[in-house]
Amino acid sequence: MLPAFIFNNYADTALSIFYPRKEPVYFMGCGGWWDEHPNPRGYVDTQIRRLTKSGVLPDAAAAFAKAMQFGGKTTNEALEIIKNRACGHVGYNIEIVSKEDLPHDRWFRNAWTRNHNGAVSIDLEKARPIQWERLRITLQRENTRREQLLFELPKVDVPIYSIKTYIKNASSVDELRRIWPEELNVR
Amino acid sequence: MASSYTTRKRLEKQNPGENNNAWGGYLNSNAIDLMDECFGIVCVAMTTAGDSTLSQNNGSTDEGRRSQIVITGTPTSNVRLFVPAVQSFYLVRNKMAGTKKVTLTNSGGTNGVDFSGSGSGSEQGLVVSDGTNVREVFRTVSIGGFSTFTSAVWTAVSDAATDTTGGATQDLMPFLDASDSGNLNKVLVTDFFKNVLANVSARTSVALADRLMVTDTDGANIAGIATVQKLHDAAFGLTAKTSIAGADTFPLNDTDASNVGKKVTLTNLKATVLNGLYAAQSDQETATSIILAVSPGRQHFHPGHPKSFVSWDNSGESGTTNCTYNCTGITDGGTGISTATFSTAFSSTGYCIADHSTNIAGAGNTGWYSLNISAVGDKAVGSLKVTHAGGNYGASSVADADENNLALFGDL
Repeated sequence: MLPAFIFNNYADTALSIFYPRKEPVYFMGCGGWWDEHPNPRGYVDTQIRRLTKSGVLPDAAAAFAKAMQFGGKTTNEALEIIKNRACGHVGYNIEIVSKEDLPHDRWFRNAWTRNHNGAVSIDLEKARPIQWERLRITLQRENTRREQLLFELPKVDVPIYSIKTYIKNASSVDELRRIWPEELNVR
Repeated sequence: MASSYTTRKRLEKQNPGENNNAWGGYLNSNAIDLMDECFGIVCVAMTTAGDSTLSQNNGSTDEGRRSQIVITGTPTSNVRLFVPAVQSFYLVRNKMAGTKKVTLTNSGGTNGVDFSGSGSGSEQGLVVSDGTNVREVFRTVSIGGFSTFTSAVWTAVSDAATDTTGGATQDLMPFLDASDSGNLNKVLVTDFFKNVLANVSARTSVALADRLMVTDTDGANIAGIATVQKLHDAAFGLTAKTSIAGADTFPLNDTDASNVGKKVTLTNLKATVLNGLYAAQSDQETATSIILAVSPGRQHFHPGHPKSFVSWDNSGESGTTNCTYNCTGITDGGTGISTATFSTAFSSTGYCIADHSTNIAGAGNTGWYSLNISAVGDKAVGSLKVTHAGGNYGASSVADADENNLALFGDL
């Protein structure tokens, strides 16, 4: 299984994770990605020009295009080239991580953060508004659904103020996650 | 005491004191004249079947003393001509009609030299006898300018065929320097060849069966016969093949003289032929031909073929891609945000996006999802960043989808 690249994105507030595919790694080993092209060498230059124009760093674009066509790279070398081509121009603090070390639950995905030793954990302060937003939207949808039924159902009435307080005061991610009205059974 | 005779040419050696007052006549007729005869010609007409022997006489004229032999006749089988079993050399020309050979040898000798008749090239050459065996110094056939040259020589020789006394200067034409008669018999074999080759006339065309003179550093091949066909085969290393491999080479001959003799492999030949039958990238991109066949390596250049597609899952385990094409990888940028990176960049950002995303059993959001490109620059030639919003009943938000599918059409 190929590893992933985790990095801080210039544009997004959330932590970004890039998952490379096996195909480019394979071709960087044996080359020939553009062999079917009438002029492979010239097309390599075209690809470098296109990538550079779209923001990819020139060295990363050249290394990527040449490796795809001419090969000769080990898996680690290929991953390094792919990392620079896909992540180098959009993020920083790029590190290789195993997919198994990433959280499997994406409920608080936008609260993912890296601690000092590089492991991914959930930032409790970022998780509080996420929990509230998910609860609020679900409540709104459920009440809208009940209202639009032919035989209307009573709206779900939850103690909003109390829930906000619970969310604000939750002492752990697990505790925060458990704050959910029973009436909103669709989770 | 009686006279004795030399071993090789049988010249008389008078005993000292013999032939008082008459020894000069003996010396002139039985020694000096016979020495002159040594450079003469003998013309031997071979019978229809059977061998012949050059005559040998001590102190008087004979055939075996002469160094030039012209052989004529039309034997019906291969024949032998016996020369004296003494050390000597002979310049031989075989003018026999037909294809039978004459072997020049010593009676009792084990080795001889074969000369073909006119039907097989009218061979001529120089042989030496060591007293036991006759061996070849050089032997050649009459071709082109060489034939013309030797024809003149041997015409003179033939004219002298009736000169039974021998000794005429013109009989020695093969070795005659017209500008200086002092060079008689001083022509080296190498010089002889140089003169011969200098007179080979240029051919305006060559047939496969034409013969060539061959000489190399291996003396065994001197005067060997090679045809144009053999030379051609040797040059291209051609041998009879029972099967053909892709790397086999063929000599190329076409109306462009510069291509004559060039090699082409079967693979190249095949590619050249097939290139005219299969669509190139430009044919696929034009998409107008109705006669060209499409190979797997060209199919994806058609405008109607997706240039990239990817199917991935953002709701469950991160980084799960189901299938991809022309995709280096997927970036998970947060809830509902993904970026597909292309292995081959598009020529422009004007490519078409077809997408479908759905939530099958996700939490919080159900039903349909929509794709959005939220910022300028998210749609780039080398990547595409998309945001998925999902939800029901008028309330949507950025959210993960169980299954995200993208297919992109455009120009690579």
